[in-house]
Amino acid sequence: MAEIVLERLSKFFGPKRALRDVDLRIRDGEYLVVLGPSGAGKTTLLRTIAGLLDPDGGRILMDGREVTRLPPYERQVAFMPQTYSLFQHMSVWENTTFSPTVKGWPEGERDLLAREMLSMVHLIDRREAFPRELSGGMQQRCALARALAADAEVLLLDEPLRALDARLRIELRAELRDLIRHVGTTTIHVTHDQEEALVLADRIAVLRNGELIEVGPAEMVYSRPSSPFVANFLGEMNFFEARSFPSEGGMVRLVAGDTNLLAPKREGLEGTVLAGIRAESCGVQAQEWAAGQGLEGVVKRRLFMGRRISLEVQTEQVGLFKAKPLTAQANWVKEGDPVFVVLPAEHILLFPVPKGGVAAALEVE
Amino acid sequence: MPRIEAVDLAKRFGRITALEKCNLTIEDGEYVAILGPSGCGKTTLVKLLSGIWTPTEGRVLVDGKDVTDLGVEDRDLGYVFQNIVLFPHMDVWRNATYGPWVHDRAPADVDHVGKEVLELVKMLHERGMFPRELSMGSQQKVALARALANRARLLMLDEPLSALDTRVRLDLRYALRRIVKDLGLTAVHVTHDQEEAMSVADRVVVIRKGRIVEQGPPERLYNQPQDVFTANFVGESNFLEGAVRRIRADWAFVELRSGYILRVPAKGLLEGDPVVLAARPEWLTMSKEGFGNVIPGRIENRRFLGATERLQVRLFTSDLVSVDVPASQSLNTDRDVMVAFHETNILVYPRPYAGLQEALKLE
Repeated sequence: MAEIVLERLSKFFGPKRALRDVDLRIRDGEYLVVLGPSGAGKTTLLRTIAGLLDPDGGRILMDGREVTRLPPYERQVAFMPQTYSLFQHMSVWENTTFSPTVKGWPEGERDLLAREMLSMVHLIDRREAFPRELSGGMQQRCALARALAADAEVLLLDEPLRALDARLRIELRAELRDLIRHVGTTTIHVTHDQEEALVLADRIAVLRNGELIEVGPAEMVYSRPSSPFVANFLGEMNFFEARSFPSEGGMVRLVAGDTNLLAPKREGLEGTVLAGIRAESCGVQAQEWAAGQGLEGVVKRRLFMGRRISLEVQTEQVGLFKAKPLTAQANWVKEGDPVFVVLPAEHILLFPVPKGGVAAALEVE
Repeated sequence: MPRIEAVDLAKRFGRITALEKCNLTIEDGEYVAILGPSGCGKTTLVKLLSGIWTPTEGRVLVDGKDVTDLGVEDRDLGYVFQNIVLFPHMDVWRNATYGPWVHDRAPADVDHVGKEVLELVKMLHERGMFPRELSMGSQQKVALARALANRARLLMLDEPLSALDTRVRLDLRYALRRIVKDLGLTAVHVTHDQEEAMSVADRVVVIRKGRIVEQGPPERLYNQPQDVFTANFVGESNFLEGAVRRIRADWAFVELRSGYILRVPAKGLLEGDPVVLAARPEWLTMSKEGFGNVIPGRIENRRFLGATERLQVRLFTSDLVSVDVPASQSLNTDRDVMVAFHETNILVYPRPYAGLQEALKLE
């Protein structure tokens, strides 16, 4: 097991800076998820830690030992790339047992380990198959089993669930988390999927344009994000400008058009602010039953998504508003219905108004 | 206007059956999603419907006319693939207008069609850009524009969003449905993503192991799935095995392990029937009462899911169930709780002969 420290890690590709002075400490046994849009530098970060890319600046320490210039095989890391890199001439079983065999594990123990890993990824019945006989999702699961069976001190997983069917992905991510927690391997898992990050991570690190812009426990990054970008990346947000006035009990009063809303106070913010609330935090009621604080509007679009219903509501005060209430609570809503969108005070987030405008602050790249 | 029918359509590769006798009608102007795990035969079905593959048995009718022996190039349809196939050396405009252009349409026509389809996918401003300069999402929009440009009334979408990032995928779902509905097209959309299927389609067809398991409007499929596989595959469910102990009026009293009893609608059940009860995590609630349709248990695990929190509760029946509660309703692990089941929100299935695990298996 190992603690990893990154100090001012930088990487250039020609003139383009892929990583900018990344400082990060990953605890021994921690499950860190690196989240960010495509092109943010996530894969570059993993490849640098794996030793497959040389950084242009900064240091990498594992358990206090500097490994910045060490070749990959001297780092005790197992890297699962997005391309899987399975051995094409070896079966699923041989791929999975490769690393323990090379390390000279006793056969009995090796087989037990491989069997356990292949069962977890639901490939035990296909252990005789060769990679070319497997679907993309199965190849990915085989690569995951191989990485897990490598018994490394550090696991580096690059979008390990991306090629899987939606339903299987949900099943496997829970199992993956339980298994790695149990084994206690330090893990860095890269993804662009916010739900995956929330479910798996001890801490989430958000990368944008090569910069580490936020790091914290999943609940904190979700509930108290430091910027509109992070807020929106962890769950679709509604943003609107409002004037903020002092109120009581750690709250402020927001005025947007003719609407008054209470929101938790944020130190150092006064005057005009950017207020935001997640679509999934908004409830919906019939206007005649309206209670609590919120906005009146007319439903322009309704999309059924299963667990939730996705609504776009045209409001007078703040324009088009998105709400994703649970189906059980909003099954009755139809397009054209007048509704009351409930905005619970505790879910409203406040930010300074971004200088370049909201759109630019949210731009994925 | 295209109405497509598959009549006893089947495809075998040697001894492997990719699709068993399949009967399906897709109405004119309907948006149908074909949903299933990988390897279930959904891609086979759409390839047979489009004429890319020839069926081993059965026929394909379009508006009542037998087209089984026509190749894809002789059918009037647009096709969008999972892997985005654009001509890399052509800009957005040339890619989008490729169809009308090779068909020697008048330049004014080509111009008109190009503007219309690029406007539809909101890519007209990027008309001079090359594929490599575009994000994956934008590239797929151009591929869609190109499929629309041949003015086919039938659109085949083969995992069109699977290669894209989650967020982009969500935005494109809306775009796809809007375009198909605005143009009044008939669309067949293959996907493994249940949420995607439910939010784009008028009707979802669930396929497993080469057979249609169930089909229906998205809301029915989610709220009242008729098949136990669907209950698990389309959205998550908790399953509890038991047997009908007694029936009183409209209610059946189902005995679970350790003697706990739940009351469920009796429709079609007989005393003694082995059954499987299913309930979605968001249908269950925490109760303060110790009586009624509740089962005691202990919270083993909590998982933060954003707006909701998922509690894993080990019921005293020894079943592990997931319960979604608002994230603000904080409950600690190792706490004893009452899980409430709501009579109208319990699905009841006959217990599958081959066992529950086998019936739920994804592949």
